[in-house]
Amino acid sequence: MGISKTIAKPLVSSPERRQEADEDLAIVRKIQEGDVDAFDTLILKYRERVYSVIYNLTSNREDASDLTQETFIKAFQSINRFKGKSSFFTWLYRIALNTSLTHLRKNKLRRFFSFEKMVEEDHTEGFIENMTTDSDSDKAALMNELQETLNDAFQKLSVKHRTVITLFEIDGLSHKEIADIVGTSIGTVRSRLHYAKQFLQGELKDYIR
Amino acid sequence: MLFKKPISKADDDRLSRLIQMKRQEKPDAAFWDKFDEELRSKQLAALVRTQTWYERLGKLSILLARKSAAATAAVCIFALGIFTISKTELFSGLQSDPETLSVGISEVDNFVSSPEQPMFVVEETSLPSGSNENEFAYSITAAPTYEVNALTKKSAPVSYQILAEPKRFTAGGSDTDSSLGAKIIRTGNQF
Repeated sequence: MGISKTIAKPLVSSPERRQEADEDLAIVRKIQEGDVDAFDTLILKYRERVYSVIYNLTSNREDASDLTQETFIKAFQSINRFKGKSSFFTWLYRIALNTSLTHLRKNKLRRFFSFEKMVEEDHTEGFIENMTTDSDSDKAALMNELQETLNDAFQKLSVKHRTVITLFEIDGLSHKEIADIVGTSIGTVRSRLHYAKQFLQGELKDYIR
Repeated sequence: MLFKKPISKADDDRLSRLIQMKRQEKPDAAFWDKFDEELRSKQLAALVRTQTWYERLGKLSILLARKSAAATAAVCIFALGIFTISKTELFSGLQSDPETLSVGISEVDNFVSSPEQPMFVVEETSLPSGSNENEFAYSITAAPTYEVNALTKKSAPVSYQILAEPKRFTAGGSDTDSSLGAKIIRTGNQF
């Protein structure tokens, strides 16, 4: 499978997002009326995306798992306060983001990866092309290496920039949706995104050439 | 400056593709089984978890503070108002008991190096009609009383008494030993 095929465009467009929001709201209303089992539907629907966002913010699987669970528990506990002013998805992402930021603040000095690992390694040109032609074992090794390097580069970004680039590039959200979740203007989102991309270009130049 | 560097479209696309490879970092099914199990138990624990005494105390304090904020503010304003009124001249002049609130000048001197002396205007200076000018005259004195402000330690006159003391005249001067007694002819607190 070629890499280019695995890379998706933004996950959903606006009309689909609206329909999704309406469906979510109907489920939330059921929960608010006492059908707590309906919450499982929302967990199943969003757990992977929430986990993905948190994982890319923390770069730690165990922490991401715990924080994803914490996010859903907080959402469950405060579901009666959800009035539907924003979409459930936006509300849930805000909880996930706040939970992650609190965790990151508490563990400010913690580092998940050794930055020394990435230096002095010979990254050949056409890395992505190699990924499509090498054997499975080589591909897996290259993928691991790349993911580790990407995680290292992400961890060097500030939390604000990391959040924006994660939500845009990995989760496929629009500038407007990110602005709603983060609580800033679209201009600020664009600015942070631009800075984050420039920084990552510098960090990942060996892979991009 | 980093911000001013343009990113070429090709570089931007390649970077996006590279970053989006992180989407492939997905946990397997076993991870989600464990996740669901842990989440379920945490949900139940959150539902049945009893609060510790300090959590309850904290919540109660916040609740009380919110509920009684208005009442507390009203009481504070009322108390401040009473305090302010009690410090006004008119109120202290009418309500204070001179024996308990006022102190003599000598006592005031202990607190204040130079207490402000009030100006007295004595309106009635003429002798009453029918008096014998050759034998009597009035010696008029004013005796102020002071109140010391407990906060500022400064004295302020709060009332005065004008005393009229008839004295017997003899040729060449007044006879100070033959006082006929003093009489209060005016008491006031307006300076």
